[in-house]
Amino acid sequence: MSQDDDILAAAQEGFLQEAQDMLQQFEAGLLALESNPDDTEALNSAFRAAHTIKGTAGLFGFEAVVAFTHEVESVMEAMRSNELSLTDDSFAILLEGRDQIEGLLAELGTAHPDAELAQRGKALAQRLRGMRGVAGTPSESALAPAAQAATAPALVTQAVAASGMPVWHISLRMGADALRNGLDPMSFIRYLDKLGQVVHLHTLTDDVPALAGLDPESCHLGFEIRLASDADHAALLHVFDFLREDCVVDILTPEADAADFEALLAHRCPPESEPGRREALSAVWASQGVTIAAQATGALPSPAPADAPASAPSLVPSAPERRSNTERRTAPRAEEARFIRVRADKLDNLIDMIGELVIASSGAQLAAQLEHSVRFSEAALRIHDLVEQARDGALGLRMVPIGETFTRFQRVVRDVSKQLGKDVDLQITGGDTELDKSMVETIADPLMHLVRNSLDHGLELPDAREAAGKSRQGRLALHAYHESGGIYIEVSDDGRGLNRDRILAKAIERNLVEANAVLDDEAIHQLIFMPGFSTADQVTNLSGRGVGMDVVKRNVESLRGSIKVASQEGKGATIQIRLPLTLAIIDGFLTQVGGVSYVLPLELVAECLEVPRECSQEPERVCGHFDLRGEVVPYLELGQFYRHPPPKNGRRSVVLVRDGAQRVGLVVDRLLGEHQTVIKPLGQVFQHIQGLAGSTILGSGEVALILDVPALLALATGRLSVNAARPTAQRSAV
Amino acid sequence: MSGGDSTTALVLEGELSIRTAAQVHDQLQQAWAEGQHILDLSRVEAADSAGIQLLVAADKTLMAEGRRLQISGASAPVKDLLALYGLTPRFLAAAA
Repeated sequence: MSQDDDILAAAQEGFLQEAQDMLQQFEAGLLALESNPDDTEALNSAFRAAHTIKGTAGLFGFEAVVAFTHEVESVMEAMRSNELSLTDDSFAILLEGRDQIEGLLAELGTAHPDAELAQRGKALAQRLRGMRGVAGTPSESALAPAAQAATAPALVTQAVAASGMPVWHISLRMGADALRNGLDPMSFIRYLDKLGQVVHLHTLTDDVPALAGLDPESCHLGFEIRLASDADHAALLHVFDFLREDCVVDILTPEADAADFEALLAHRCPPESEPGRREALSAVWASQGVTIAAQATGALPSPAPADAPASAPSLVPSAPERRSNTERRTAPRAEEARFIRVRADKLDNLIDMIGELVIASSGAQLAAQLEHSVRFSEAALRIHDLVEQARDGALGLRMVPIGETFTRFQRVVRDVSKQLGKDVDLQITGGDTELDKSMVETIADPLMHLVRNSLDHGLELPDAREAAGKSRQGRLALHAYHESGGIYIEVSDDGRGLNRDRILAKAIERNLVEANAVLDDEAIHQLIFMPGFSTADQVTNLSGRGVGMDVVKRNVESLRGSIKVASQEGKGATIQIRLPLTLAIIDGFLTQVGGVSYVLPLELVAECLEVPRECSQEPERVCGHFDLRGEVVPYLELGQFYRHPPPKNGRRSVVLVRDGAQRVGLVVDRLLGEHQTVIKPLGQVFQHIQGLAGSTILGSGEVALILDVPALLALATGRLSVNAARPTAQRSAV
Repeated sequence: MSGGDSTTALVLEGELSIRTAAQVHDQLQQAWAEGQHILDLSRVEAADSAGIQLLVAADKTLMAEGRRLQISGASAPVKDLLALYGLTPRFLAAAA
């Protein structure tokens, strides 16, 4: 029993996550629609999202969510059938509806219903219905489509069974994979028998091929069912929720008229289908007591008014409702089939395993070399290649495009700018740039903070902008791209920029810098990230809502990333976040200094050089500069820096590494070549040592240290005092 | 399963379901190729839609040759399912 509860809890968790994604899709669809009212794909996408939430919530019996989402969905449906035109007002209401759904979902986790939420929901539902009321659609909230009795021309059927229960018509076509997926229609039909009484059932076997052409595990069956039941439409649809992806089901209400059946017939047997199908289906219906015919005999009571036209029925308003019903039963299939939800810890385990595999594969390669066996070496190399591919594949599983996070800001920008009376155009580029899922989660909050800062304080009011000679509409840009082994995310605006003098004054006031300090622009800009700088006071252009810029910086650094500011007063500001590509495994370049192995991220290695004269002349220097083809480039003598004893025999090398525009030469004893590096955290003992990003285990079982290039660069270019940062007691790090 | 005599019935035992569908499919094809057209389902313990579908396919194969599938006997699970699917007249008219 408790196991069942666990499964249910896990499934609910999955639902809540999916619902969040769907809410995002819904919002994105609405916002796209707002900017381009003719975008039917955006409308459909939003509609599908709402529908999926409703369907899955129904599966778990979250009635409040189902009922409210249904209201939203109905409005969307009216929009889809052009019964309702789009106004600014309708977007506002629908967005509120989205928030309400989110609120209801959040409430599922708590024991006590929120009375205020319920109240708000009621009012909102009223407004949603009002929207449809204006458009002249029936406003009752019944889940069943409205009866359109007056438009029924000549349907001869038995709408009420002998038992007195109304008779529904269910038309079911199984998907080929249903049986394979363990979904047997017989279970559903037996279940229907519990909801009422199956008066008539016809099994359609037309699509079952002869033995020779049959895949015995595919399903080719279809059913036409007459069900006498007091259950409502939702309850019946509910029966097929589990089958949703594996069937096409249409349910006609007892009030359905000839037009409804006609439309279903047209839908089941489109003109391009085999001839005779239509007649065959009509014949099946006839055998079930449903006749759509002008020449109906008077033997059965006809519910249609006598003066109704007996010609071919036209599509009445309820027909598109049902057609779209079928559409939404089938549409999610294509979309959902492209994704599988996987528990994050399973993925993490896989990546851990791959990490171990990488290390083991290096071990095998090393053993093969020592054995001097060509065949063994070849085999080890082949394994190595495959492991590399598997590694990329496994890491790729965790990668998600940042665009999803970016689009979340559209709503923020829209709402906040309206609230502030600003006119802001949000530009998103590079949304398909992929980064690790866990990074996306960690980076979302800092990004939100930066976006809000730009909106609140960076961008001016339209009048102020005009006065400053800028366009009234401000520009806020989110940009992401890959470069030299990192991911860059930029938040930029064309607002007033950072006020250098005020930042400096503030920093001096808070004793963060000396009163007479001379700082360049970049150093001043970095001050805003100091803890204790951006508290409450509105002195700076960048102020927080509880979290300061120091928290933003800390979040970024926890991902081994860095953050920079570029600003021009009066012109705008750009905040650039650099993140590493992955958190787990990198392609490394292995070097040796004083008997210890050091790994550099391969993508940062520009070239390898002989040790230039400038360095060899002064072997005691820790850092200095050398001439690289006429350019002055700083270098860092790693042996000296980490206080290794000088090597006995001379031939050493310089590895030129780059970080963005900056380059630095690192003097090492030996170059050992490429190495797949599984990043392991540094032990406590080593945490204080400058310039190290982590450790790794080599194939031989030895430990190698991973160098933190940006930090080394900062050291070499003299931004930090090398002597202060230089480790004290340090020999072999192993 | 006994060979080629068109008057003996192919006896299916155990399940007639998705789990045995591939196997029964092979069995039926072979038996039909040998000229059989009678099935004895009285020892089938469980049946599902995949099984019913196989019966339909088997019948269609024979119809193409101008013959029909005959079911000489059916167990309760088979009868129940055929009844549920409204296929009793098609398959069990003779056996009843």
